Amino acid sequence: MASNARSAALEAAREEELLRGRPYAVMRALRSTVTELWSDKAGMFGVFVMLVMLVIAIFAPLIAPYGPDEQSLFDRLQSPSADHLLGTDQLGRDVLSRVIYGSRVSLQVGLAVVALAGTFGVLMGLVAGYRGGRTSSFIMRWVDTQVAFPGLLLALVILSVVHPSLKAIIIVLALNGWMVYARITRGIVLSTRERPYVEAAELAGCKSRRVIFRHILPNLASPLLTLAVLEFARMVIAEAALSFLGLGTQPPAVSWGLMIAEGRDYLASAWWVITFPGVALSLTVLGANLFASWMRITADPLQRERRFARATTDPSAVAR
Amino acid sequence: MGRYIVRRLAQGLLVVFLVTVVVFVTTRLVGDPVDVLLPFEATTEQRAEFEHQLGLDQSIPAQFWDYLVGVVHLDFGESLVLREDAMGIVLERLPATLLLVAAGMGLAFVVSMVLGVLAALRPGGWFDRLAVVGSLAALSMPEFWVGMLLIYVFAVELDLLPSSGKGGIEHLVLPAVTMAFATIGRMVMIVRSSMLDELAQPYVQTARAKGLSGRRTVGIHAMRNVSVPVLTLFGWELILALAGYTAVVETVFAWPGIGYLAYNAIVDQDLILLQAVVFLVAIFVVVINILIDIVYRAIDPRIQLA
Repeated sequence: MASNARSAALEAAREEELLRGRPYAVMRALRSTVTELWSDKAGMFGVFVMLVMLVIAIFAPLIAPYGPDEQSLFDRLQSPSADHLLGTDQLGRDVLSRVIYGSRVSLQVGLAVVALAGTFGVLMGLVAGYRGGRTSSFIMRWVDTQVAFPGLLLALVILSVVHPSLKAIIIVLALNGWMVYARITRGIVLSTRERPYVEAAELAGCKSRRVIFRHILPNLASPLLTLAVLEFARMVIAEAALSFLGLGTQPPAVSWGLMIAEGRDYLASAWWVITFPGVALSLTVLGANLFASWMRITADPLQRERRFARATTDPSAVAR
Repeated sequence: MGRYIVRRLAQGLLVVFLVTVVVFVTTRLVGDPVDVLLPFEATTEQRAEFEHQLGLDQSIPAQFWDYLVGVVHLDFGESLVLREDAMGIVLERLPATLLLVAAGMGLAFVVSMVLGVLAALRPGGWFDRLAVVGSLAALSMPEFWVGMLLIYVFAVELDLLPSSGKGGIEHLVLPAVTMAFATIGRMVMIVRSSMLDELAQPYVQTARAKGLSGRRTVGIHAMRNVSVPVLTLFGWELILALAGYTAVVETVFAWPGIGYLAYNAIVDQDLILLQAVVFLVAIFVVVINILIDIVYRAIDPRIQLA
């Protein structure tokens, strides 16, 4: 009897060993994330919006009923109809198609700036937090000085001298956006440096690069992801504002900010020309904001516990 | 305190200096100013004369020195389009911008304080939900778009308010509301969450238990602590408004301030005028930054200025 129970336990242990392989862990993580998302409708909405925008941007030529520059001067400033669901602009171009193509610039700029500024900022923050001393104080002074002056005006000066290509816009926005990442990274590095496991790794003779990337960096994953999504939203708006001022995307390229700028003169007679690109812009930003605030709670075990406790005691709290 | 202010002023001067350096480098070295500033069809003689006029035929260090001396004397040269002293034009336009920022940010402060505190008093209630959803929507909309929608509704459709320009108080309403819009969204969030944190503190419960009225507890005890994070954000919003939103909002409403001036300078490629605007805004930003830190100290003596 006793040996029977022992062999059953061994069997179970072996089974678990097998299941602990990567695919299983990934599946489980994925499943719990999806249920987490369902429990939070706002976060779900955010993810949904971001995914839809991504699909629209990638498959724009397949989805858009017309080309983005297809002009038809006979159909100028037509109100929304069956032929043109969101109407046409001052050159007879289909607003819906232009909104669809415009998503490409917004997503491209947002993603590229986040990647560029994030990489640079995290590296600087890691170095400042891990090295300490003079290197750290130099980097943090630099950050303070740049933070003390919001870069939008400097961006205007730079872009009015350099031709505002997509690349220039991305670089200028990244130059203005890396400091947040550096600050957060440094803060977390400073607090994790003192942890016993980091000290143990150092004592065991790990090189500093290994300590930084294997032991410290994983702690940064969730706050940095949240920050990246928030920054994405901010950069999408920044690109639109630059394009509106004439220093962002240049015609014939399409961007939501540019569409709003072009439709300005026809505001009194054709509200749809500026309204729909603005709706697309706001929805994207709203989606990113909701997604980020959901992630902030979900990625923090303490907050997650609290939410779970609230949900079990008060069912109506789930909707919140 | 005195030493702190001196150190902050020194840091501020450094910021202003670096801004002027960056502006100099971008306008003189990255692009050829003659190409940027003169029309495409200018003759060689015109180019040479223009170079001489701007001092571009001198060495780079000499140019930089001249530029710095000019900046210290607030002399940026003549605007290339308006043919007047650039700083003079900017200073002339400044009051309009200050009026707009004061109106917009004042409105944002009052509205977001009221909404944020009311939302925090009944967390989860219908008003709280409405305030959270509303402010999330508000902070997700770009200002220039909000401004145009307001023009469409209130100037075009309802014909209640003027759509652009400066004049009586009715001209100020739409630009100020536009400027306040996104700021209210962000501020309500902060006011609400810091008020919620504060109301959960033991001292609030003590005050309540001792029989203090709810209004007094919230209004005097909690409000004092809430004001620190709220003022931090508000100071930053003020800076953003001066250095960012003015350009966009003033352009939408053709409001004759320095933001609209900057926009026109960009359109006309008037780099000298643009430099003057950027310099003045840089000084404002630095001063506001220092003021915020001093105000902190006055509100919360626990904050050590270091």
